[in-house]
Amino acid sequence: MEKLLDVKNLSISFETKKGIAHAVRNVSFEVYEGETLGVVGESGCGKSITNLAIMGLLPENAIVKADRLSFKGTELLNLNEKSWQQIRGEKIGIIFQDPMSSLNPCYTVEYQIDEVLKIHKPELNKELRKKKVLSLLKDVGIPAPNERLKSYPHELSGGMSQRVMIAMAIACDPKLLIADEPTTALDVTVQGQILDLLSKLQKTKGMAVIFVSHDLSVVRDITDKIQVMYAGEVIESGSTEEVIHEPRHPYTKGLLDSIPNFHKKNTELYSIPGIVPDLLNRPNGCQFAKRCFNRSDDCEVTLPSIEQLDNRSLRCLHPVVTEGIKE
Amino acid sequence: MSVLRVEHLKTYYPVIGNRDGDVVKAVNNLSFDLKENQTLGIVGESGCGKSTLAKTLMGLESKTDGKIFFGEKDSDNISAKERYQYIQMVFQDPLDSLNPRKKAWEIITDPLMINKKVSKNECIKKAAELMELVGLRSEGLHKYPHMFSGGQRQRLGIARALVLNPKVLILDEPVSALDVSIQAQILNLLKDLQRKMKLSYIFISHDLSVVNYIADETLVMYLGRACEYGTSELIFGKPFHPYTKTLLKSAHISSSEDIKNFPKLLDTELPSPLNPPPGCFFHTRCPVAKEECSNFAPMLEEKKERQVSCFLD
Repeated sequence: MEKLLDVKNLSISFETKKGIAHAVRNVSFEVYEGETLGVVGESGCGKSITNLAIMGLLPENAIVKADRLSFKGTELLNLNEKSWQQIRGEKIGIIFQDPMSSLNPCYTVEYQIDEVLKIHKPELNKELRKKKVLSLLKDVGIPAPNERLKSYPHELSGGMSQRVMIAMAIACDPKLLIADEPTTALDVTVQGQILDLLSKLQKTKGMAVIFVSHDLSVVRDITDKIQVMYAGEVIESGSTEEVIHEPRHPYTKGLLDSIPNFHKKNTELYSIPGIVPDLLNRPNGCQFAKRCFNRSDDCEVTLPSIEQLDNRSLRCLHPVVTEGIKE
Repeated sequence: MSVLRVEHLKTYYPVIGNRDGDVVKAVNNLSFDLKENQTLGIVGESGCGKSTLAKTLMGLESKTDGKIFFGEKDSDNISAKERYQYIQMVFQDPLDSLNPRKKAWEIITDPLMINKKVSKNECIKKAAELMELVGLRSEGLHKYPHMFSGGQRQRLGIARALVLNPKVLILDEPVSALDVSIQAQILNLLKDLQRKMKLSYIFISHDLSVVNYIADETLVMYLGRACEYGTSELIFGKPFHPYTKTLLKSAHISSSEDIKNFPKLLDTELPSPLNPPPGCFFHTRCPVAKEECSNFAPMLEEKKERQVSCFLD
């Protein structure tokens, strides 16, 4: 399989009035054609910032450094705006969390999907574009697409708007689709449908997907690989099955234990004590040490490096041994 | 002992600008009974009337018909002050529901100042007590809401709801805006407070695993009506109504084969509450609907140790 996205030692920091905030530190990962990578972690752990860096959408005060940040061999770091235009939207698509606030309320559904095609496929004329918009709406499962063309976003339900967002993201058949919490703002019944739609589209179009979510039960069902992020670092990654059933990092284990178990009702839930460290003033050593149940003195001194361990990588000095969490 | 009993409650909203007297039946003929020290979970999609129910119980919306009993007292015969000392509410978004210009102690004791005449010093003392109860350090007494984290803000919201010593708390999606690790902290806190203070909860959420974890009884709502009402064990373990099964299937939490193999919804969209379908409201989406479902509305009746409104056996 071809390597689509190759990220090596990506660091992103922001200059603020109070000093430099290191939002993402030394993140490395790869995405191959057709696979689904799940990214999980608490809010503020750098999930979305990493995605924005891949899309070239970071604000101007961001300082991005990386040994390598390439998409299909194209180095993304020093691209100018014009070259970005050819990648963003055309080769990499993105879906955001809240569909209601990502669509422009002043334009019709047709106009907004058509805009993508107008920019990226100048060879198509008006009629061909209209046909394509219709077939896209059909692809994402919008009933009576002909009538929906002239609808404004406020006339659509949350699930419908998210479908329109997906239609826009896949309009140019991108190789990589970034789904940043695509179902968090939706009801469970709609969530199920959107997830089904995403996996169907992925199969038919052969896209790779980066699926960001804080909901582990969703990530478990649709991804091949998982990476867990904490305070801007990747702390554990590996195949979904292995990471969920045998978490090695205390943080991953804590996250899994804090989900109410369907079959164990009357036990107290495990909760990770404390909060995420201040990004302006990071502790020395392991970033998770203060909240960790498995820490020793050396954790607060040395920052563990990320180590490979049979197909998995882990950033921890004292990993936990689990017997596998049962369903 | 029943602390909150609701009988055939109806809350209708008139449609503005409509001359035919059309109404949206946001809560349509609901009845339930909340016992002391118990938790009633309310689940359903957005737009099914969960929040309208909460507002009606609080008296923030006036009911169209039906009865609400707080213990022995009819809601029609008690004053707002009495009501608020009996029932209080915690809201979904902790930042939106706290006044950004007030300090923590003022936020917590506002209900006290309004409902009882209490001096400032006593208020601060009471606020410190409550902050300790909900797991906040009393250094935070003079801080503003933006200086707290999401989980801490939700704890403030809970402290404010407890200041009048209510018997019933309505929790409207109290953990939806929080991260899983923080969510677990708040759920543990709620369970702990319930034990200590003999509270009863109405827990509204769209997250079924959370409701299953915390609720003793569960009520599943669809377009303002009750679909299924019974102990959480039965509702989540052996669901009966096709809608409940659909919800469980979508949430990917049940390991039962019956749920996993349950057919998909026919229609993805919720019908308009302004113009609900005839017969059973769910029949337009129900994968196992029969002919009679589109003509007659099923009544809520006792089936397999719970109340269900469905023609299936």
